Amino acid sequence: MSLVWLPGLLLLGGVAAWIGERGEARRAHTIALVALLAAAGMALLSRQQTVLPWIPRFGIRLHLSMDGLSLSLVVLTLFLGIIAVLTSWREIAQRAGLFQLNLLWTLAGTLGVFLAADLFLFFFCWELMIIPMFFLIRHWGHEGRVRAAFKFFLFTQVGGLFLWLAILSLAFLHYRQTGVFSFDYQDLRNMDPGFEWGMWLMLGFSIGFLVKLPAVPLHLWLPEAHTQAPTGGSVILAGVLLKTGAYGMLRIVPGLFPLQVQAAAPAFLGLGAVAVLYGAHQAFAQKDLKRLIAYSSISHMGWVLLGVFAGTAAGYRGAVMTMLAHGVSAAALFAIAGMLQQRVHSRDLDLYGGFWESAPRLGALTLFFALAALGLPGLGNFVGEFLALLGAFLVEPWVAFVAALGLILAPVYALTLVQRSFHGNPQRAMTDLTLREGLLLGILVMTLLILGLRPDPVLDFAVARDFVPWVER
Amino acid sequence: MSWPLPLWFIPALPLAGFLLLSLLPLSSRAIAWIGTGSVGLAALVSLSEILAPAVVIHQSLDTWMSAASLTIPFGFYCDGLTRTMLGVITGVGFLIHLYSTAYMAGDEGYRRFFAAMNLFVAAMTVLVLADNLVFLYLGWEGVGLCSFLLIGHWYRDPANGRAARKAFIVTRVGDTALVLGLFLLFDRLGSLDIQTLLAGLEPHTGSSWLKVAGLLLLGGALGKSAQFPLQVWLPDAMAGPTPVSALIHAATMVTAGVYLLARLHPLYDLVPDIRLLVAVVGGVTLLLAGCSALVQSDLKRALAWSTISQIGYMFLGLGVGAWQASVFHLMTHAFFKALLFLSAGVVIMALHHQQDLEAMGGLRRRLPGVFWCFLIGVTALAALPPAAGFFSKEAILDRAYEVSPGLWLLGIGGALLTSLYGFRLVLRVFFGPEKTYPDGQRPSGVMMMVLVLLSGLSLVGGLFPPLALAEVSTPRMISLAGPGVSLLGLGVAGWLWYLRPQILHGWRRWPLMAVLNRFWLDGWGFDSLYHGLFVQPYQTLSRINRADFLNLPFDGLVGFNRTLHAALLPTQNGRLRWYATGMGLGVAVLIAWGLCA
Repeated sequence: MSLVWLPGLLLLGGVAAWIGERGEARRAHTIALVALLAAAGMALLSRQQTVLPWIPRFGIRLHLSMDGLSLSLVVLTLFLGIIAVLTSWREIAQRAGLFQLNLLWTLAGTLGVFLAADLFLFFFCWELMIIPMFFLIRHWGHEGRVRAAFKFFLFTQVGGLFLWLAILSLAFLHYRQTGVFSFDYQDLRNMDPGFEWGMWLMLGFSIGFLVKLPAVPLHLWLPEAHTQAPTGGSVILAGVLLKTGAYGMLRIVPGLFPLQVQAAAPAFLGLGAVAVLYGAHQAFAQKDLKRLIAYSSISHMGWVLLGVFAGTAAGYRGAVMTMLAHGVSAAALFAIAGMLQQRVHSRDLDLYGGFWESAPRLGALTLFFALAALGLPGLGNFVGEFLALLGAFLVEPWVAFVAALGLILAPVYALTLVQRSFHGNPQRAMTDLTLREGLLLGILVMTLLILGLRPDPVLDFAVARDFVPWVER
Repeated sequence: MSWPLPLWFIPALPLAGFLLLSLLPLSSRAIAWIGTGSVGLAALVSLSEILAPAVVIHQSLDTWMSAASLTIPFGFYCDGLTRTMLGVITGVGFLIHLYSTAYMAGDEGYRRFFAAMNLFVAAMTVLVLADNLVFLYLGWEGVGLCSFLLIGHWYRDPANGRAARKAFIVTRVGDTALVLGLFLLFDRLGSLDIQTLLAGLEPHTGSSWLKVAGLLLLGGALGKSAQFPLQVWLPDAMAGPTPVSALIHAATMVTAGVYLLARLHPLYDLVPDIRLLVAVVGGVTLLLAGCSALVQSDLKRALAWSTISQIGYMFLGLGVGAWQASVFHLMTHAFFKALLFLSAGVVIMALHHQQDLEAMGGLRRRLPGVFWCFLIGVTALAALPPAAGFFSKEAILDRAYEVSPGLWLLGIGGALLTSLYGFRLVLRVFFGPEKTYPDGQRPSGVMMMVLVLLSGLSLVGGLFPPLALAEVSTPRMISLAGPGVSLLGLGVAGWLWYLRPQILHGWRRWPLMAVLNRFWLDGWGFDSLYHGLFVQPYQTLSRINRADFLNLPFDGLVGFNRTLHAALLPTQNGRLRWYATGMGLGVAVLIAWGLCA
């Protein structure tokens, strides 16, 4: 089946949910769920390559291609999309159809980003995922939603501007060299822009992606957007949207500018180490549960940078695993934050405490995901962090040494999270997990265990064929 | 299925116990059976390994993870060292589980407790069975997690939570060093399989990276085994239930560092400077902790400091190259320290969870059984013949004397302190005037049975050194020094805490003694030092920067635009005169600029 149908189905499903709601939220949720399940089924049946004409005058085509890396991220996106719909089941009662329209369109854009093999299409989808997300935060968010939505929009839009300028320049360079307009990834890859030009263009791409990743100091939109978004939105933001930035740094940047990347690798490694430490430290500082989780995401994305720019096979596998495992663990933590907020009507950790007595199952699962976040061996995040750090150590031992301090800082925030909410004297009673919540978190638990104990099959599949480690270790 | 069973059964059984206990709602009877039974079965499988002909067994299940030249299998390796550790972990572990079924009865977290204890045994057996350092690290972090869970078992009290967190984070400092050491080894030798590593070390003798690797791995051992300068977490870890203190914080987990260094002893043999450092760390720790044990007013904290001190002996042994002796002491220590903790548990239970020595005294007549058990434990601790501790400690001291009389002197000084604080505890708990009537819960038959078994092991365990010990060529006079100072300690303790307590009262009035007492009681001020150096600055920084200072330039940009907006807004006022003036002025300025240029 044509790959266009993957995002296409979600776009149509969104419209269907909007029209089909007719005053009953559950109907919209069901339609969205069906659309996601159908897309998931289709992802496994789709062929690897689809090319359709689009704007022939500029050589722009609907060129989608799917390899192991893309398919893994597509599966992650659809999987977390389903989780996001499930977490919204109760929470979103107002204009649920419109909510699902925005959610599914964001996901459609994300799928497009992971599948596009034409940089014009890539950028189109990049924008497609931002705008519905803006509305999700703006309309269904919490108390500070307006500011958060605009901050999110402005940051990613400015980043997108750099990305767009870099794509255009690259296409023009291609036109100058060959006389043919093309935005095709392979065409542009085969062209040599010259080292210095390549350096500038890489910077443009990187700024666009680093804002989305996000890397310190371009991360400032994230704590607010994650905190203010509705639970489903936070799940998608942390679980999937950040991964588009990581995907860019993982595939597009090293793919287009292999020489420049090698030259600039130490700088990126440094950025990664800073992100690991700063994110972990800021996570500990927060009183707002969702802000805490948001900053921990920044820390985890630092491992991705470290892994990719180590340039070793181990580092690359670590980066891919961190993307997948963090997607699951962060989504789970945000889902839990949503459950707690629904029960306590606050995200303030100062008002939390002693929940274990009345909700031991929720407590145990929170502990589980906090342990995943702090990198306990046996769970997916450990494999990612370990390989990324090892990969970096083989190249720049001192950077790895500094980044390793993050291993000490991670339990400081992760254990604080568990203890401040579930330990201490019980102040109020709450209901324990419902069946739907338990099922949802149970699936995520199983996923992290599989990623942590059997990472090789996943990694062998998910590592992109076109990545060549530039350090042979 | 062939006998003995495959090695992976040993961790798998308690792991299955953990899964059953954490997933199923069970009656407390079923919990006790599953919790104890799984460890009992693991002990049986271990026993079959121990009784099997002493060969090295190497079994690999499957690949865990790989990348380029790195391959990490779920691999198991079993030799004499592993067999010793397995015996201690599953044997003593089983006894402590058995004791816990009665000790923890009625606790609301009964199921949670046994689940975590089972998970601990699983992780600890993985730690000693792993054939590569990454799989070992899985067990290493796993036991750390269980330690965290069990220290914080009574989660309502925030102090317990703090102690649990402290234990995890301080040991994580060491763990991080361990991970880096492991990277370095892989970087230089291209493998993380322990036997491959050790076999490939020879050509690197004396290279400086090997020293760094030795230091980093030592860092991991220091954290887990609560040695100087990372000893601070163990006394606070006593917040957990007493069986936890016995199993995790005395008999097994805290000796993981000793196991690691013993396992990697060929590496340390190649870097004598670092090995000497291990000995010095051990010597310093055993004295420092011995002094602190001497002045504690809390029974369990005194025992905790004693554990740190005894592990100091093991490090001393490792540092002087007597790793077999250290493992021997690890084994006997597991027997007598578990015995001491479990006896203390009975006392504490009988006194309604009173742990303060001030409230104890004269319990010899009321709790005679426990008194004898505790006495046997202290005799073994003080290394008085014929108890088990004598043989293992002598083995270490003998070797230390051969290597360096200075190190030997540290050990002998420690022996005096050990005997002093050991018998101080006996005298203050069981002798003297009765202060509290022990009308709390009486020990059950099962608990007493466990105590008797451990007493037996503490008495005769010394006759069975698990590994070939270095032969002492001729009996030397110097070997009498150990028991000599122990007897001296017994005498002084009797004098100070039984016969002439007024002497101590007299000393208390000296300001210097009061200061010293305070200082030792607080563990030589390390807590406040680390608090000031690390904790406080980190907390302050996070408080100051909660709103993230990196927002400032962006907020500044927003503010600048707003100001500009506010400043320019009045110019758009709709008055024609105003606009005409503006245009005129603008044209004038442009002309003037053009003329000047």
